[in-house]
Amino acid sequence: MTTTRKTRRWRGVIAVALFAGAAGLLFKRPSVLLLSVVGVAYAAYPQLPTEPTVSLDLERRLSDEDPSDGDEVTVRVTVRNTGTGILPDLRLVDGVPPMLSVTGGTPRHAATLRPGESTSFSYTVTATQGTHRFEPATVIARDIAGAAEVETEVAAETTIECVAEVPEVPLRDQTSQLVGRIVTDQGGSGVEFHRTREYERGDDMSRIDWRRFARTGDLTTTEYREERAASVVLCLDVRASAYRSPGEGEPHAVAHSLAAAEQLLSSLAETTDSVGLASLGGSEACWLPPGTGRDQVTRARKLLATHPSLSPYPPDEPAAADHSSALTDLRRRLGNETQVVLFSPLLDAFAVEAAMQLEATDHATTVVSPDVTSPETPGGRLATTERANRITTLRESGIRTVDWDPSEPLGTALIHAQERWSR
Amino acid sequence: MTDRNPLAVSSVASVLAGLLAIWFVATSSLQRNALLVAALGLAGVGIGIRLARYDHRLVGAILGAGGLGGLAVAFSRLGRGSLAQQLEFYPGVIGLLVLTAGLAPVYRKYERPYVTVGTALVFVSVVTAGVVQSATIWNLLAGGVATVVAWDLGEQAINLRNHVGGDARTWPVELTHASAAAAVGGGAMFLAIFVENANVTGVPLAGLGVMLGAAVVLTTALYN
Repeated sequence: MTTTRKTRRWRGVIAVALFAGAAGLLFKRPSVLLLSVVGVAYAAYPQLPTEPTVSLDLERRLSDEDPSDGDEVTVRVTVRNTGTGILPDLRLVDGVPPMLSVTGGTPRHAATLRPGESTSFSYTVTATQGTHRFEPATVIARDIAGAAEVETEVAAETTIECVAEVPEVPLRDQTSQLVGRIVTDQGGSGVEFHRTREYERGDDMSRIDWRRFARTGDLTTTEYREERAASVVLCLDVRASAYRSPGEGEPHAVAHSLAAAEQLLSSLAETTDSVGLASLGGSEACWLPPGTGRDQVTRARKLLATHPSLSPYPPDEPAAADHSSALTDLRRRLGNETQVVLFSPLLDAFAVEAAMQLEATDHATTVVSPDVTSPETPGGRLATTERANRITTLRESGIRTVDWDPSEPLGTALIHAQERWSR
Repeated sequence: MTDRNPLAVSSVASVLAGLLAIWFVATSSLQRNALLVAALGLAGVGIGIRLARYDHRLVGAILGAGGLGGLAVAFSRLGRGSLAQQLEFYPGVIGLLVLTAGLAPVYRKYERPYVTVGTALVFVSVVTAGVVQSATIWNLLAGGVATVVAWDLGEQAINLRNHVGGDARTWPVELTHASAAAAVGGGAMFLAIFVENANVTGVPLAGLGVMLGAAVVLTTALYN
């Protein structure tokens, strides 16, 4: 969107003309009266230049497009004046992804650009986990007098992918009928021994225990644990209350949840499991039904990066917003055999209620909870305690909960959680 | 941490333009000697406050105190001058001190008012020089132009900082802007001299005043 406005910064110079004129008349000094000509000339000055016409081409070059967590990435921005007029006073602020912090240089720049001329500047950001899309750069172009300014945006598609790999996603036993990787308690074909039973007509000859038949004369059939695929929906808690961060300038819980969802999505994409996407809260519901295949993963990634509900900025909602209907809608959308991985910082009771309702309505639920509480203040300590209590409540209700400290890789938290679950 | 102080190039150029304005109208050797001392004092004050802003509080305080001492010396020197010389000198140098303090900045919230008040006081000196008839018409006009340029550069140091911060490379834009403002000032001076050479000073002063008043009204109307 382009906005043009008058700065009116030269209005005060009229006072110069009036003051000089008044003094000249009062003291009968023609030379002082002539001084007001200077004021008049400067008052007319802003009317002389034409409004700048902004036509720019912006290019970003990254030193590393797929950095690891914590790596420094140098961003070099080149802006070219593709218009026909000179831009004497061009001010530019690059659209640094909200979750990346600038650690060197500045993403702001000023230049004078003749037609066809370009200018470049560089700055360094520190990569954090997730897919970070650059926002359009904000440009303010003033005329030479600074009397009129045009504010607009210049976009250039640039993304920093910083996706850490996680080990196998620990899914619950709830599965679909499709063959997959999750070993079930149901007997059938598979590789892990389940039990032997009396032979029934139609059983596969290869599964008959011939040794036992030779020894006892009884026909028995060996059953293996069936391996089936799961249907998983990655659900992100994006209510305004989830946009908390441990301190100023640090990523909030939704940013960590997005990064975690991205990692789990990448891991699940390599399996036969169906994966979908949903949001709990937000400006509008995000919903991608579970599916498999490359297109599905691409769709999910695109939603994670662009869906308005998954924005890095909190939704504009009242403090006491009721999200019960959103939860009801989500439960209605989930299929019978779909399990849920809920990403939530667990900063309020509703997140616990949501997980328990999902679990109670036959959707095996796993909670991945980034810890964004900070025990440095009394309020922070209270939040830490309340969150710990919520995790205990969830675990006592049989809901698997991954307590994740975002300063550690998600994979480590998942391994620790799996160790605890296997005990 | 982002530098949130007014941009250095425009700030220094603004104070220099203000000094130049006083230099043009304070033509006696006593005034100019005192102005040189005051300039050193202003440099001490400006650099002192800026250093304090960068957490070099002790060095900044020493420099600032030294600068104020220099200004006091300059003021005391003018004590020997005539009343007209003092009226030309004091408002302008106080204005320069306010301008320097605003751009240093001594109080971030009121940078713009400091710049406006400072340059207004400098302009009072210029007009006073015209009233006491101590400066030639060229000097008077040059002083007026330098005052407006001082305000323009001071304001530019603030508004450009507001948009891009103090860490960005801004000097090409600052120089372009300053050059244009100075060029307009040059044009304004020649226009004023043209008006003078047209022998309009011979016409009744009231008539000339009405003519310039009409020009002011016209330019005011252009803003609306």
